Amino acid sequence: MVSETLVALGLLIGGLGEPTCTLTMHPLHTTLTEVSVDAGAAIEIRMRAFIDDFSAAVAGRRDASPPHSAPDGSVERYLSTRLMLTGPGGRAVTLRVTSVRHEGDVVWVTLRAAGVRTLAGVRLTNRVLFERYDDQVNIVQTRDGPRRRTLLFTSRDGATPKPLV
Amino acid sequence: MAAAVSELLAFASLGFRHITDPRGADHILFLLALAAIYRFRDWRECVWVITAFTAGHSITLALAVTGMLDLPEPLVEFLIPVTIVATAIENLIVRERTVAFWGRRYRPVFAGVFGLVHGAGFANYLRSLFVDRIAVPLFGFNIGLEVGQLVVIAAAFAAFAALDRMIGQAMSVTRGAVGDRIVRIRALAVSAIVLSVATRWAVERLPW
Repeated sequence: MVSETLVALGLLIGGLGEPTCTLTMHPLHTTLTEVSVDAGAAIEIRMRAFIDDFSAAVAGRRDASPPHSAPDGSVERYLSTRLMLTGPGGRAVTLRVTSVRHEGDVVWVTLRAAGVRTLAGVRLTNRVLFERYDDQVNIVQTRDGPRRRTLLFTSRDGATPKPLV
Repeated sequence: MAAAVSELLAFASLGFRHITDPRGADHILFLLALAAIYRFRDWRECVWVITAFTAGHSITLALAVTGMLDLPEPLVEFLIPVTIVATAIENLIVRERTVAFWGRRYRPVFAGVFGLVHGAGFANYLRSLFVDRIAVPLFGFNIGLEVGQLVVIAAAFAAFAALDRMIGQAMSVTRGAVGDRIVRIRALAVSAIVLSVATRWAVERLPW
C-alpha cells in the first residue's frame, strides 16, 4: 500500500514539475475550400481559413494584422504558390483573387479562373498553411453539375495534384 | 452516391486523425484514464465504459453541430481536462471497486456524462470544417472517432500488458501471473501521469 502510494505520488509530482511537457490540447489546423464551375464558364474557388493563421502566413510572420477586405496582392501572391490549378494536359490555370471577406475568426477568400467550363481534367494542388503546421489538413469539396467530391490534402500529399472530379 | 461515399470517407479519416493524433492528446489521455484500471480479461467492461463515452459525445456533437446547443468554447476547453482529472483521481482513490459506491456500474454513467463535454469539444473542431451539408460529415466524423477510439484502446491494452510484465519482474512475481496488486500499481502509475498533465491543462485553460 505504501509503495503503491509512493509510486503514484512520485509520478504525479514528477509530471507536474516537468517544465518541458510536450503534450498539448487539440489544435485546429484546417481550411475548407469549395470548388465549382459557375454559369459564366469560370472556376470559382472559395477558401475558408482561420484568420490568425492565414494572416500570419500571408505576411510571413506571426501576429500579423488580417489581410484587407479589398484584395491588395499579398493574398494572391501567397496563394499563387500554395493553391494551384492545372487544366487538361497539365497547363497552369491562372487564379485571380476576387474577394477577401472576414467573418468572425475566419476569412473567406474567393478566387476565379476564367475560361474553364468543366472540372473534368482539372487538377488541384493545395498546400495552404503547410509551411506553418505539420498537421495541417485542407479539405476540398468540388461540385460540377451533379458531380460532387470531397478531397483531403495533408502535409504528406498536399504537393500532389489531385483530379477534382 | 459516390459523392456521399467520398464525403463520408474524408470525414471519417478526419475523425480518426483527430482522436489518434498524439500531438493533441486530450481525448487519448481520457481514454487512457478510463482504461487504466482494467486487465485484458475485463475488456467487456472496458468496452461498456467506452461505449457510454461514445454515446455521450455523440449526443452533444450532434446538438452542437446542428446549432441546438451552444456552449462557450473556453468553458468546453477547460472542462475537457477537468473530466480527465476527475477520472484519474477516481482511479487513484477507489481501491476496492467491488465494494465501491453502486458497485462498478457508476463508471459508465460518468463516462457518458464526461462524454457530453468531449462531444462539445469535437463540435468546436467539426463546425470549422463544413458550411452547409451536415449529416454525412457528422456521421463520417463519428465513424472515424469510434474506429480511432478502438485503436487507442487496443494500443493501450498492449502497453498495459508490457507495463504489467515490467512491474511483475520488478516485484519478482511469477512470469504470466498478473495479480491485482500489479494492475493496481499500473493503474496508479498511469493515472498519476495523466493527472499531472491534465491538471496543468486545466490550470492553463481556466476561463476566468
